Amino acid sequence: MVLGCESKPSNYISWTKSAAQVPPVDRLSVLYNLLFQKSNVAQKNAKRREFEERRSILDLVRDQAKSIDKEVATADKEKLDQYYTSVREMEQKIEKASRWLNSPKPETDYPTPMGLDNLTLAQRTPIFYDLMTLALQTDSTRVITLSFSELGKDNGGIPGVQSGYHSLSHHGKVRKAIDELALIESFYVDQFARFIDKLKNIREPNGQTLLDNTIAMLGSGMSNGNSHSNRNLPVILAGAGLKHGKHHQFARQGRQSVPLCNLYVTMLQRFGVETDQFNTSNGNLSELLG
Amino acid sequence: MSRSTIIFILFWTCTCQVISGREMHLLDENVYSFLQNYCISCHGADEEKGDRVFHQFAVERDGKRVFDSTNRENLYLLEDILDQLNLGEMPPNKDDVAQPSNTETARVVQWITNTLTQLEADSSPQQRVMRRLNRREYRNTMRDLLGLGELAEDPTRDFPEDEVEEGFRNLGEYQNLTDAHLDAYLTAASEYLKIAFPEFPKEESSKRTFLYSDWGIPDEEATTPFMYRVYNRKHNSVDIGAGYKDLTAFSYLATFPRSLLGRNAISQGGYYRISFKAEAIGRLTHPYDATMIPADLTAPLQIGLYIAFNREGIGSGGSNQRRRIALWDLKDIQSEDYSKVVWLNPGAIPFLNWDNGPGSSNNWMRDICEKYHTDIEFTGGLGSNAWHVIGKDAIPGRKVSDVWQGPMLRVRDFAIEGPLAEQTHLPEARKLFDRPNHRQALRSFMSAAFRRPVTQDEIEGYFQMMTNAREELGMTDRQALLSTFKAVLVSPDFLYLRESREKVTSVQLASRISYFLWSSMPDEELRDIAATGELFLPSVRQEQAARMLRDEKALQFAEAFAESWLRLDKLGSMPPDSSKFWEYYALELGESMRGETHQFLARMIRENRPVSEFLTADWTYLNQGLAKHYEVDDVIGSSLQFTKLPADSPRRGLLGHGSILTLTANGVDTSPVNRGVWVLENLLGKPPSPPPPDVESLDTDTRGARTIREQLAKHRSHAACADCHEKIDPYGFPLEYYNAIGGYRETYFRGRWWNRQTSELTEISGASIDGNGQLHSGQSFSNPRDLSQYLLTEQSLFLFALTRKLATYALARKLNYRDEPEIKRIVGKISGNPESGFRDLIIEVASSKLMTTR
Repeated sequence: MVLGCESKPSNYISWTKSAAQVPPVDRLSVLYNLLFQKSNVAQKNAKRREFEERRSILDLVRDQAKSIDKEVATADKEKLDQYYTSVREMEQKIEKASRWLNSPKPETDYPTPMGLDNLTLAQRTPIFYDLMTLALQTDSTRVITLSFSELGKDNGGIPGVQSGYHSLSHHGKVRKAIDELALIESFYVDQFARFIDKLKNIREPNGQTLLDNTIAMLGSGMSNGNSHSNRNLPVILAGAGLKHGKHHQFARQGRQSVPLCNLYVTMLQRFGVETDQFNTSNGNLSELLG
Repeated sequence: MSRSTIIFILFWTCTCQVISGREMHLLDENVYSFLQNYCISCHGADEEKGDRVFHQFAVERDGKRVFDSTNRENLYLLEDILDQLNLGEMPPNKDDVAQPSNTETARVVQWITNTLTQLEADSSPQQRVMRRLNRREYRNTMRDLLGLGELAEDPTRDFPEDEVEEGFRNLGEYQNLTDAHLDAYLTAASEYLKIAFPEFPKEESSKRTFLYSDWGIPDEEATTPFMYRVYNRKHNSVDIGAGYKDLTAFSYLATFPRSLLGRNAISQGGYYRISFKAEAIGRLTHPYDATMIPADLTAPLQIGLYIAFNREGIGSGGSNQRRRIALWDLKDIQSEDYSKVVWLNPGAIPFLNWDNGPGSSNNWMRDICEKYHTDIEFTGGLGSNAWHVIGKDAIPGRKVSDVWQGPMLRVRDFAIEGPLAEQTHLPEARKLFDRPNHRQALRSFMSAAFRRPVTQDEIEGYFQMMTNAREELGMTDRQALLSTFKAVLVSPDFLYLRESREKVTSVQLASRISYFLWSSMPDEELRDIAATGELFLPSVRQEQAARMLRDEKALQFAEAFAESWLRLDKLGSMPPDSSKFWEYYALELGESMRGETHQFLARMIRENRPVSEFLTADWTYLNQGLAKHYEVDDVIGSSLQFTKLPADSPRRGLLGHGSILTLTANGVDTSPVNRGVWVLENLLGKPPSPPPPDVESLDTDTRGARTIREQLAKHRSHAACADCHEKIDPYGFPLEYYNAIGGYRETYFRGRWWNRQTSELTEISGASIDGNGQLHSGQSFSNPRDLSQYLLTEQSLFLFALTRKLATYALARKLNYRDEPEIKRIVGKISGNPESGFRDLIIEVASSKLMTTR
């Protein structure tokens, strides 16, 4: 599940294997309906007809692509392969979507306020986290990303903030701007803490809490927006029974630094993925956290 | 001439020696010693300047120096060396760096040129990779293929972002296609086909004229916010007294007839004509102190016509759910007719806004009433801000609306007519369904969509699908045909521009040209000529290119090329700080700036202006807001108009455009580094090396103690930084005279001081701007005008840079070595004729050999 709250294409955080951005669901109303809306028979039939039509279209275009396969130059072959792969992946998604259509949706008594999509960032963020909690609790998804970038209307409705997030991040060391920036970042961290608390208070059938069965990570793509620095990124990790309660510092030694990807390796391993590598990793942090 | 021929022979013979066993290529001894003598001390084992090292490039084999020519890195390195030598950038012109003689350099240049040409020729031809239509091209192609009018809502809105490589969005090699694309294409195709082949209207076309009762607004008001909108009985009009320049700040409901939400709702998709009469009231005749009214009344009052796609679009948070489709300057006290035809989806809600209005705060209205209208009792505000004022001469029953004389928009006879029959039944569309033979319908649709003749086999494939859709999925004839069309529109033949393996055919050449000049498919004339094969004649391509550039569709080229070359796509990606640069929003500068640059390019093409005017033009396109921003007088109205810049204006050419100056800043501060890099990359074609990985960017300090020049001083004192930054920063310093949104300044901004007593806002200045930039050659310039003059002396570099960008855009691939002779020829031809202009250059590229080679 890919979510965004005031997110924009330059800040999307989910990518496919072939390095294409995945646009997030950014409207709470859409998210709520995806999770809980029950379709009636007519809607289900309309969906089914759409799936059938799409399947027949994909069958045809795959054949058409095959017939030109022989004619194309070597360099074009790769592009055509990408097309095939996309057709196949779309077919798989249609299968998944039809299973989802037929599977019973979870019940919820979660109340949503009127005008869900017209709220400020400060009002919407907790609802995003609540719906994420429900999605995990009802096992509607196993992986969620949520991205933020700007504050939207009324500077997010965060008390005391009078400028945009981006503008404030170029604070030029002006005290007032740094103070406002701190308000925004405290807001993000408070909301994350509230989310962790919610996960902690939910018992799972296996007796553990939802937090014990989840890894939650909060981070930022920059440590200092004023200098556009992406060194020493601040990261908070919670859940999954890892060793917590400590602030780890990874000091740079000359040109050597600990890649953040090492943390991702540990997270993947904790998920049970058999891998010892992710992107630029050169090890893992299992000893520190495991 | 004769000498270079001799050198050619001398070294050419050497390069052909390939040592057996591995693909090792002999490195000429002169080149080897050149590298040893002039390069390796900075680009070798001891130092790795610019991330380039040459000491591991060659190895010794049997007493000879050789290099691995199958290693792409080695070839890139050679290309890089060649570029640096050709541009005269290396070795750096410094006292302590040994300088080669011209002959030595010429020899090395010649050898590398020949070697690379030889190696390129040996390797498999580097072709353009089959490429996908980008979003702009897709949208234009659909418009032309289906003959569409204006659509309120963009069916491509959910397309994944196009990949951008060095500004270009059409390079096949860098493009991706995923299931998310296919999903978006299928959804968009359904939407487009619904518009192009609408079902017979369920309802008769009707004209709804909205009456007072439809608007759901009061016709008398005792509270100040009445001027938001009120029904005026005397004039039988809707008077609008509040509105926003920037609708993202919009915090009250839109002005539209409420019955559009109920009994008058748009229930069927179709083309509709929205019309009304409107005039400006009280702009010049209001009796009040003009400084009390928070709107610029020197400009004509503007009315914006918007379409909200659904109810969300009429509320404050719905900026993605609405679009302005027209903006008009209203005449004062003279009612005119305004209308627009546009496709509306069911549920769309057209609404009006006073686009340069005073916002929605009503404090100013209260102040005016208190001062000028003591004969009324009135209330206003909400909650804890509510007020109730009883004027000292209050006459019971007299209301604000009885006495108010402030500026307003007066609208009458607002009407929506549609769905319009003549627009919903396009002749083309009807023809396709009337064909008794569905195979014929498919042939005509497929060959148009695939931009080439189609074979019987191909038609059979689609026909089969149509039959299955009818028989197995139970579709009607019509549904089955539309479903097959949908398949056509997601097939690789439509989505990709594909070329034959060995050479470009005449039909494919037509697509190359039309996607170059129109960002869309070829029209009938171009297709007919392509069918004759005459398009291979340069003279025919010249004629066609000239014709196509005269067409309105060429504006698409101006826009797309401005995106690629000047990086106009970056404008708006870092929105200016709204508290520091409120005027950017209040004057709607972003959109005007973009338009200015587009109009500038369009005129350069239309009037075939000399390319040097990109650097020095004393003309541009401004509207009133932008003119105010540029401190230029006498430009009235919201539309961009041709404007001669005053003799004392600092602005000349592209470097005076607000768009360029804004996109090279970060929305808050300016950076001479960013602007310098922009000049080098886009105007001089000399992109600097990326910063070394272990260097942190500047931690900017705007508190005022140190200027940006002082903060950048370490670039000059640190040798590691100086090498690059002494080439970059000098171009950026003169542009420091412009702030982060391109406004002229002579001092840095330190802050604002608000005087509560007088309500005055005073800006506190920081240090004076020092625009002095000095190149290593000793050349210096201290302000933007000087910089333009200097760049003019580098015109030949500029022409090369522009030509390469044009050719890259036209070919939809990166240029390589073998393209250079043709680039040189084009540049030679243009610079050899003082009469030539930008249009000639484009036509020269379109008719060049580059276009016909695979």
